[in-house]
Amino acid sequence: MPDALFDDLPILEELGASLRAAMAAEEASAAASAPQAAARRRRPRFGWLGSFLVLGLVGTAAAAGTLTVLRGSPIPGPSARDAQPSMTPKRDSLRVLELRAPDPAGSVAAGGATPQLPFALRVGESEAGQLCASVGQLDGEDFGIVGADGRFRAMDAGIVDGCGVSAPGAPAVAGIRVFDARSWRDARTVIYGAGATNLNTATLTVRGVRRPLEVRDGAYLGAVLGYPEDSDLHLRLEYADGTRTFRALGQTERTILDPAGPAWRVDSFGSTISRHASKYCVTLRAQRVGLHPSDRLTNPELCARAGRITGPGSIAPDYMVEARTYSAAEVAAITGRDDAASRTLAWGWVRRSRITRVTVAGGADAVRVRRELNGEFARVMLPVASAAPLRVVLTTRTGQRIVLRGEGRWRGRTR
Amino acid sequence: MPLSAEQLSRVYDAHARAFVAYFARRVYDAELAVDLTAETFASAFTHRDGFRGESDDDVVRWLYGIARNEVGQYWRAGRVEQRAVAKLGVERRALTDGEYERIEELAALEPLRRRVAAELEAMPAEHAEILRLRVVEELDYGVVAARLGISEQTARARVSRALKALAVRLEPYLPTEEGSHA
Repeated sequence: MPDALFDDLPILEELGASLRAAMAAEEASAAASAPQAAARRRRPRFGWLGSFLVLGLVGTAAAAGTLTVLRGSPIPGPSARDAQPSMTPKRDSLRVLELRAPDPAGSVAAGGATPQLPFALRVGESEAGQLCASVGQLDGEDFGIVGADGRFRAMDAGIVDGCGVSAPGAPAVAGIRVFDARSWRDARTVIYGAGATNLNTATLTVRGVRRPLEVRDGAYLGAVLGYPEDSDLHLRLEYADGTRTFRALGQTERTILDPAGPAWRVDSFGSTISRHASKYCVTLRAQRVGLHPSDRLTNPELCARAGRITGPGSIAPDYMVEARTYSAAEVAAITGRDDAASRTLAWGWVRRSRITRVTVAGGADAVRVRRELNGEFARVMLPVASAAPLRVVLTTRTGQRIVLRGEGRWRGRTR
Repeated sequence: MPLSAEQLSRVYDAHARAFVAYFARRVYDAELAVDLTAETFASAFTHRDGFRGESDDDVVRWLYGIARNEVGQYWRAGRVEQRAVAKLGVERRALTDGEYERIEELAALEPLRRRVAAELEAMPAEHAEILRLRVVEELDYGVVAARLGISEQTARARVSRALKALAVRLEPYLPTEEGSHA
């Protein structure tokens, strides 16, 4: 291609090169995935596109598990005008720690386009004397991230996830960092901390399973599949002087764990209908909705009309409960995810001053569920067979047990 | 014969500049014009199975059909859809000042802007003022209504009438498709 074509508009020259590379990679990928004989018949004659075919083959190699990845433009740091001294690491102080966390999407990467690069932690001292840390991935000696398009981009030194000052019994900087993906199954959460003086051990609990994290020089690093709220993550840090800290990661009091998928969320809200009447509702939805437009989402609600929401004269019920198995299509409408699966949901609201305990029995076990904030509760289960005992048991302040059996919707008052 | 990357690349080299000018004259913004050009070619490639033609001229005609849809979609949604570009992983940097000016020059936007300014001057003061507030200063309808002491509904209606009146005045000066990619 003559170089002088777009002399006055280099952007068109660059855009053309990017389009050609992408098209060649796409054609090469399509040819590689087809049966060999068919691929031979359909394979285009590349001619001058030959150089870009190399790029396509590199992509195929990356998918096969080598550490050679497609590259994108480096990610620039914030402009000097926007960067605070406390959040700006000095370039000569930057170093990538020896800690590595393998990409947990290994099996995903092997069959897809996402290269499998280990996670690492880059630290440096800010101009204000704080310790700054950035989470990234290593491609050879280059520190950066692999985007959803499968390309590795080096990250400028000015990009930091957080900065802080060391204090006894706490890391100078700690956090969780999500590496998002088009599907929740491919998202990854990286748990990190640095500048924790005398830190002995770091233990991550994932859905009840304990997993020790590597600790070096007061830093720790680990990576798990999925979003932080999906896996009931807890981090326990133990220091040389015996100090222990234990905290839940990525959850709110409204987060409801799914047995095998993304987390849910239960909420309540009130609205005024007229001067003397109010409506009180509880709703169940996905903690993080999928890719559908929001207007296609349908969240189940339980509502009650009341003279006043609380206090004397209230005619609101003391509990509103639903228990039933939602089909995959119904769950998809709630979560916005095409790959949703059927679930049995037992959820609702109880007046906290009247009902002290909620237990949901589904299939083999019975679980006391938390009543949160305004009394909302939920338990999400794998589909409970109709023959299995599905029960919601409410225990009142006076010890009375209200047993709600099977599927249905209930609304009532206690004595 | 199916459309190949090679043929589409050849057409890009010959016509990308004309497409950028075509878009710039319809969305009045050089950055958007480049985005729309990228999306048009990327979309043509991702939908290449739907191409029914052989020659490069056939490809160009097909591309202008896609381009018309892209412009319509832009005005409906208020943003450039970049599905095909994202699917292919095509990236671009921001325009330099020189490139910005060159695209405006190619699209003859400056004379068009002068024409718009002249037509605004010639419009009734009520129309000119409300277009200045809503279109030039990009104020919300609520703010426009407050400035003019009218209801928001009235402001919307006036803006709509003023835009239609301006479109009628500019009709003789707007490009035809043939002229824009000749």
